[in-house]
Amino acid sequence: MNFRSIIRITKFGLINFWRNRWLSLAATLMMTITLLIISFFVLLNISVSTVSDSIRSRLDMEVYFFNDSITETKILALAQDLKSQSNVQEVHFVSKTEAKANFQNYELDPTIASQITDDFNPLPRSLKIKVKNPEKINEVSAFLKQTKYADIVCKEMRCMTSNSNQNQKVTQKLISTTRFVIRAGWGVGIIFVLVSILIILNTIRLTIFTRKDEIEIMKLVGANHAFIRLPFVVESILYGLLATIISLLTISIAIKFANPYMGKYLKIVNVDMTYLLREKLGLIILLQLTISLIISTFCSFISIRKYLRS
Amino acid sequence: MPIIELQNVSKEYGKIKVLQDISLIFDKGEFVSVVGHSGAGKSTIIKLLTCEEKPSTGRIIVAGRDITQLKPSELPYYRRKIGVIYQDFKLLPQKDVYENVAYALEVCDYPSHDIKKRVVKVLELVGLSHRINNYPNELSGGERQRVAIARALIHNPKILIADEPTGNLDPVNTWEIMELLYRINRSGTLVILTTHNKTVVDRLKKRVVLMKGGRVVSDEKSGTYVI
Ligand SMILES: Nc1ncnc2c1ncn2[C@@H]1O[C@H](COP(=O)(O)OP(=O)(O)OP(=O)(O)O)[C@@H](O)[C@H]1O
Ligand SMILES: [Mg+2]
Repeated sequence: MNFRSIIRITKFGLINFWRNRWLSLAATLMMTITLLIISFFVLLNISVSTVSDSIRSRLDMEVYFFNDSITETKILALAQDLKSQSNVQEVHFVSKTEAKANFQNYELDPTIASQITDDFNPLPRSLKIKVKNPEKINEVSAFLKQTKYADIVCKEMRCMTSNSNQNQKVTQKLISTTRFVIRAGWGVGIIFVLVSILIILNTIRLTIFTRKDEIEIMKLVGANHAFIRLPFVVESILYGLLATIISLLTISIAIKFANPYMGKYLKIVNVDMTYLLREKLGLIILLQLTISLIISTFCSFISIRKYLRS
Repeated sequence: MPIIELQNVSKEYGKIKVLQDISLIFDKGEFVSVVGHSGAGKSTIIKLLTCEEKPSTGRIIVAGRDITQLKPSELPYYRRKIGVIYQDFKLLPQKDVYENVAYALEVCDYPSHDIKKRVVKVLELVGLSHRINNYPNELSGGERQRVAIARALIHNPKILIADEPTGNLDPVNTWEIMELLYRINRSGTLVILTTHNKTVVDRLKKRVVLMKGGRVVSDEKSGTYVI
C-alpha cells in the first residue's frame, strides 16, 4: 500500500460519503446519539463525584486549640496519634500564621482583615483532619473525647454535621445516594452503549448491503480486498469524526443553557458545569474519538467481510 | 500456441447440468464466436473464464496456469490481465463514465496523469467523449455497452471476452462495435465473443463454436450461424 493508493482510497471514501449522503447522515446521527449517551453518563459521573467529593470535604473535622499556652509539641503529638488511626487519611496542622493568612484571605473587608497582625493574633491554632470514610467519622470524634486529650482539645468541629445527629444522617444518606447514582449510571450507560453499538452495526451493514453489487463488480474489475474495503472504512471513520464534532457542539450548547438552572439546585456544592466541561474537555474529546473510531472501524470491517468472501 | 484450454469442463448447479464435458482450445490472436440458443451455456463459460464460478469438474488452463486453482489473493491480478465485457455491463452505479473506466486502472495503481490520458483516449475510441461525466443510469443501453467496452479495453488485454456486446445496439452501432473488436483482434488480442446475431457471425467469417444444451455441437474454422 503506497501513498498514491492511500490518497485514492481516502478520496473514494469521501466521494462515497457524499454520494450516499442520506445513508451517511443516518449513520452519523446514530453515532452521534451513542456518543451523547456515553458523554452524558461520563459527565453525570464526573459531576456526581465532584458533588460527593465536595460533601466529603465538608465532613472533615477540625480541632481548635484556643488555649495558646498549649505547646506545639503536644499538638503535634496528638496529630501523630490521629494519623495512626485507621480512618484518618491526613492531618494538617494550622499554625497561628497560617490561620491569620486564611482569615485575611476570606475576610473581604480590609479594615477588619488588617486588625489581625503578628502581634495581635487571637486566632487559634488547629488540626484539620481528613477522614477516609465519612460514615465513620464518629470513631475519630470518640478518639478525641478520650480523657488523656481533655486538657488540650478545646473544641472539636465538623462542618455541616456540627455534631447534630439529624444533619449527620442526612449527609450520610446523600453520600450513599451519590454512590448509588454512580453505580446505576454506569450500569445503564453500558446497556445503552451496547444497544447503540448494535444499531450502528446494523446501520453500517445496511449502507454496505445496498452496495453489495458494487463490491461484486469491483472484484471482477480486479480490485484487491484492501482496495474495496478501505474506502468503506474511511467512510465509516468519517461518520465517527462528524459525530464527535456534532455531539461536542450539542453538549456545550446544552450545558451553556442548563448551567444557570443547575447552579440553583447545586448551589451548596457549587458545581460549575461549564467549568467542569472545560476542565474535562480533552478527556471527553479523547473518549468520543476513541469510541467512535473503534466502533466505526470495527463495524465496517465486520459488515464488509462477508461480501469479500468469494 | 493455446492461451486458453478448457479440458472436459462440466458445470452443475445442484441437479441442473449447465455445461457438459466441454473441451475447447483458443489460440493467440484468434477471433472466436460462441453462438447458441438462450440458455445454451454461453455466459456460463464466460463466468468460468473470469473465475466468477468454478467448474464442477475439469480444468481451465490460461497462459499455462490452471485458473481453477487460483488462490483468492491471486484472483485480482488474474482479472486485471483479461478484458471482459459483461452481458449486463456491470458498471458501478455510483461512478460516472470517466470514473468507471478509470477504476480499472486505479485498482492497478497507475499514476493519475497516465490514467487520464488512457481514459480520454479509450472513450474517444468507443465514441463516448461527450458523456464523460454522466452516470450509468443517465445513459442509453448502447452507451452503457460502450462504457463496458471501454473499461474492458483500457488495459490493452491479451484476452478480450465479450458477452453479447452488441445485444442492445442498432445495426449501424453493432457494426461499429464489431469493427472495433475486429481491429483489436488484428493487433494480436484473442477475442471471444458470444452472440445471437446471425448477420454478425455470418459476415465475420471467423471461427464459430455452436452450443446446444450445455454441449459444443460444432466448431468450424470459418463458420456461419446455423442452428
Ligand atoms: N446460478 C444458477 N443456478 C441455476 N441455474 C443457473 C444458474 N446460472 C445459470 N443457470 C442456468 O444455466 C443455463 C445457461 O445459462 P447461461 O447464462 O450460460 O445461458 P446463455 O447461453 O448465456 O443464454 P443467453 O443467450 O440468454 O445469455 C440456463 O438455463 C440458466 O438457467
Ligand atoms: Mg448469456
